[in-house]
Amino acid sequence: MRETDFSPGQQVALPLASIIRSATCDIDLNRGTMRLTALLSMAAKVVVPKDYRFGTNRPWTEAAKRRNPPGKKRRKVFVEPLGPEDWTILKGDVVEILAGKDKGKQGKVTQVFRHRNWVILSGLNTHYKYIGKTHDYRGTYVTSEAPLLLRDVALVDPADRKPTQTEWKYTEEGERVRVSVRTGRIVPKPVVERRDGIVPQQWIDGPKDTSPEDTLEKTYVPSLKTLEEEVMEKLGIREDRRHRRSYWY
Amino acid sequence: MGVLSTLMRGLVRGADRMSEFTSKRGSRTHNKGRGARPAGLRLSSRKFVSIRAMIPEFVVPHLEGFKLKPYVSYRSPRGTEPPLTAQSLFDEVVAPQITKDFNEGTFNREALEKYGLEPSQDGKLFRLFPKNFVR
Repeated sequence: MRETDFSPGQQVALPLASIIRSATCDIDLNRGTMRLTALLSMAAKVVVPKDYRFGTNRPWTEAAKRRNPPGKKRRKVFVEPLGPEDWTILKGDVVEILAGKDKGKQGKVTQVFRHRNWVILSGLNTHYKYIGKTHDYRGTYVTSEAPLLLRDVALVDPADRKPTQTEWKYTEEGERVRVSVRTGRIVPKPVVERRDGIVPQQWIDGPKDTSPEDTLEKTYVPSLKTLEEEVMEKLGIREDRRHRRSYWY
Repeated sequence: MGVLSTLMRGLVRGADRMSEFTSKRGSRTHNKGRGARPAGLRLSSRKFVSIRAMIPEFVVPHLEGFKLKPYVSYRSPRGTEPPLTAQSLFDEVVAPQITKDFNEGTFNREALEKYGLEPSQDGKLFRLFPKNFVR
């Protein structure tokens, strides 16, 4: 038995991801050898059983796997059935809370959980917890939002900024929009934000950006010459030498 | 022991045999190249003679008044041009010439070279197959 090169009392915290990235190994499974990268990517796409209890953690994360290991069975959570066509609250909407600790406050929706009819608003219905605790450090005190049920939350009418019930209706042009029941005003769809926070319409071109007009200008003249031949012709380069005959095996 | 912990233990105990041995590893006297092509000849007197023709030279046309820049603005919409295919290139370049000649009556099936047909790639500087230029 070889002696380990660190003392038994010492805890060696090795970053798992960096080690795995440096070595490509073959793992013997029952169905044959498979690369480690294939194994890890297989684990990322998680198949969820029918009575899975969806929480705020996404099912492929470690926290969700710890809470819902494959064999567990939890008490069934009853969710009001609401079809995908009738879903009125979208991510990015401004919404008012009707019941709970922060009753009467308005906030923007950051996450929507359709499996459990949940909505998470930014900065509302919060509680506090410690994150990143270690043995000697108490951790960072962060505020975390709790999800709100759909029935405790209502879309805000942009006309008078009060909560209303909304329905999906069709306009005269045939467009499907949300209409507030009380005032009849159309609630516009929230702007879908990009992950990097850029709003394309408000982008100011930098010195290295091509303007949209120049990008869409059609200057291509189709011809049978390759780019290299065209450039040679334009610059007046004449090349009479040809490559020597060579072989590769 | 699980698979991953066995791997970790193997890497902690011994050297990493499976990674590529690049010029960044090894002692400082160990000279390993990264695949650069030679730009000259090594003589028998161990001198190196650099040959101008073997050193790559970039041929760039004059870019004054060139409107395209490295990046594209976020405001630009998606273009509506169909992708360029061999068929579309033929339809745009060669087909009009052939139809014109056919209608005039001067179309000759044996003399297709004037429309751009290349029966063989020998004698060309830039061959299409096997492709001998890097784009």
